[in-house]
Amino acid sequence: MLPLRNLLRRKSRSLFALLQIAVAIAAFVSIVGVTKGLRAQFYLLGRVFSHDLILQPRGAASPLFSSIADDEAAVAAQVEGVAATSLLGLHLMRLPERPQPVTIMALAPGSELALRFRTVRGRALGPDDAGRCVIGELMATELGLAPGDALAFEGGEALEVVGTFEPPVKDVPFLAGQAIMTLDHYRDHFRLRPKLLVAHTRTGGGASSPDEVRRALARGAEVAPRLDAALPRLQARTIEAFLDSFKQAELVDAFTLAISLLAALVSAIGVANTMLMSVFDRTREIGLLRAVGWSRARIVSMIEAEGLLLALGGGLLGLPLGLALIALAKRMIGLGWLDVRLDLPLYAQAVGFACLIGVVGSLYPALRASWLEPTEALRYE
Amino acid sequence: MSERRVEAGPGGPTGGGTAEDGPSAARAPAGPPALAAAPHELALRAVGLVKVYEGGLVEALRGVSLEVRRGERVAITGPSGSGKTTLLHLLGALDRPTAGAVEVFGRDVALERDLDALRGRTLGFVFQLHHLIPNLSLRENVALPAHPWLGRRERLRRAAELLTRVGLGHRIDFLPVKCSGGERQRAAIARALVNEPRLLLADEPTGSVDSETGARLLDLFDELARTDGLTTVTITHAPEVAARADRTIRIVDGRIAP
Repeated sequence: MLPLRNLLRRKSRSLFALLQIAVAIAAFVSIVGVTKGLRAQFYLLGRVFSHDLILQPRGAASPLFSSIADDEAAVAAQVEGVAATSLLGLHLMRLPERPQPVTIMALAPGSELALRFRTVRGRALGPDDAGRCVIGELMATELGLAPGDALAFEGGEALEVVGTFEPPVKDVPFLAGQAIMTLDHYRDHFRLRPKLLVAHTRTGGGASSPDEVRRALARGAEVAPRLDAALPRLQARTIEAFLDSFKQAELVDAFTLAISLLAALVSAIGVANTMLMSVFDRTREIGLLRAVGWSRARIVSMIEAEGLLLALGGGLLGLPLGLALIALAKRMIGLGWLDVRLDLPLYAQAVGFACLIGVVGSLYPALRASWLEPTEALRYE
Repeated sequence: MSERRVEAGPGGPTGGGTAEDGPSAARAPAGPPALAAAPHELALRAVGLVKVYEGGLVEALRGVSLEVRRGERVAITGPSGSGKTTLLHLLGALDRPTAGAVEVFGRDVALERDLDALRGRTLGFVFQLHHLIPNLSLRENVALPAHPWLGRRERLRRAAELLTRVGLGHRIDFLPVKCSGGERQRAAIARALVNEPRLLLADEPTGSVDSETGARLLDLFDELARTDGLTTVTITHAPEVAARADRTIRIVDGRIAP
C-alpha cells in the first residue's frame, strides 16, 4: 500500500515515468512481435519446399545476386532423383507513393512452382501472358486491385492483373503480398535472367507432417551431391540449408536485442531519475522511518516496490500501445504483408522486461535511500 | 562498560553527579552518584561521549557521561547549539559517537549488530516536528514503525488503540493536514509508543505548539510514561517541561554544566 500511495503522491511525475516504460515496452512488443512473425514465415516456407532443392551460384550472397542459365535447368532435370525443375526470377518494383517495394516473381506457367499458387479470382497465367500478372490476395486487398486492373509501377511500367492467388502456405502473408509474371516477360521485357533453379524431388506440393518434412529433407540431401557434380558452378541446398545460409535472421535477432536493450536502458534511466527525485523529496521521511526502526533492507524494498509498480503499470500500458504501433505502421507504411506474432510468451516477456526495467532503474535510488543516516536525513531541508 | 570506553572521552567521565537537580528534585530522590548505579537498574548509560562534525571543526559534544535509571524521567536543557539534540541522537542510537560509548538497558550500542531492531523495539522517538507522512492517515502513520510480521490488520488495530489512548480516536482516518498541530504531535507520540518501547526519547515535543496545547501534551506524555513505566529523556527549553522531570541535566558548550 505504501509504495502505491507514494507513487500517487506525485501523479504527474509517476505518470511520465510510467509512460516512459510503456514506450519501451511498446517498442519491445512491436520489434519482437515483428521479428518472431518474420522468422515464423521464413521457416514455414520450409514445409512447402521440403521436397525441393534450391540451386544458386556458389558464394552468391542472396538470390538477388544470382543468375541461372537455361541449359543448367535442362542438366538438372536429367539428374537421378529429380522429378521436375522450376526456374524462378525475382524483381523488386516500386509502387507510386508506397515506401516499400513489392516483389514480382517470375515463373514459367505450368511449372511445378507456378502450380503451387492456387487461383482464387480470375485465371492463372498462360504462356502468352506477356505484360500480365497474377497478384496475391493480400496485395489485391492492400492496393484495391481486381482482375482487369493494372498494377502500375513508378516510372510508367505496368502489368495487367488477370487473376489473384492464394500462396502455398496461407500463414505466410509475405507470399500473398507478391505478384507473379511470366518468366518470358521477365526475360524479354526486363532483360533479366532467372535467379534460382529449383529441383523438385517430388511433384505435387509440400510435406504435410514433420516426419514427412524430415524424410523429404533427407532425400534432398542425397540428391544434392549429384546435382553439385552435374552442375559444378551451382550449389544445391535443401530449403533448410538454404534458409540457414541467410545470416540475416541472426542479424535481425541481434538488432532486436540491441534495440530492446537500448529502450530498456533509456527507460531504466528514466525510472532511476524519477525514483531519485522521489527519494530526495522524501529524505526526511526516510530518515524518520530509519529512526523508528526500519531496516535498510525494508527501505530498499519500499523503493524497489515503487519501481516495480511503475514498471508493471508501464508494461500493462505498453502492450496495447505496442499493438497500436504495429497497426499504425501497417497502415502508414504499407507493411500489410507483415505477420506479427503476438502470443502469451511475448506478453509475459514484455511484462518481465518491464519488471527488469523497474527493478534495475530503482536500484540505485533504493540503495541511496537506504544509505541515508537517520540524523542527516532528519536534518535535511 | 570497559575501561577503554571510559578513557575515550577527552573530557573524562562526568554525569549523574554533575546533573543539576530540577525544581522537582524535592519530589524525587537525589540523582544517582556518577556511574554508581547497578547495571540492572540502568536504562541508559553514556560514558565520555564526544561528537565532532565537519572533519573536526565543530565539537558538538566534549565528553558527556550520564546515567538514567529505569523508570526515571530526565529533562535535558541548555541553550541552542549546546549539543542537546546531538546527545539525544547518540543516546537513541541514531548516530555514532566520535568517541565514548552508550549502553541501552545494558546493551552496548557500539557492539549492537542490529541497531534498527534496537531503535524499533526498545526505543521510541518524538521529534520537535511531527514528521508525519502527509498522504497517510493518522492510523497508518502510527502503524509505520510496527513490526511488519504483525500483519497489516494487527498493526492498524494497535495504531487505532493508541490513537484512542492519546485522545484521537475520532481522527484515526484523517490525514495529518486535516489535524491541528497538537493533534499531529499527539499522533507522533502514539507512533513512538506503537512498539511498546521501554525508553522514550523526545526532542522538544512541545516546541512546535502553543503553550496550552503543550501543557496538554505534557500531561499526556507524563500519564503514558507513568502508566507504561517508561523511562523518558526529554530535551526542552521550557522550564515547565523541565519541572515535571525527576532530574534535569543542563548541557552547555557540549559539556554537562556543573
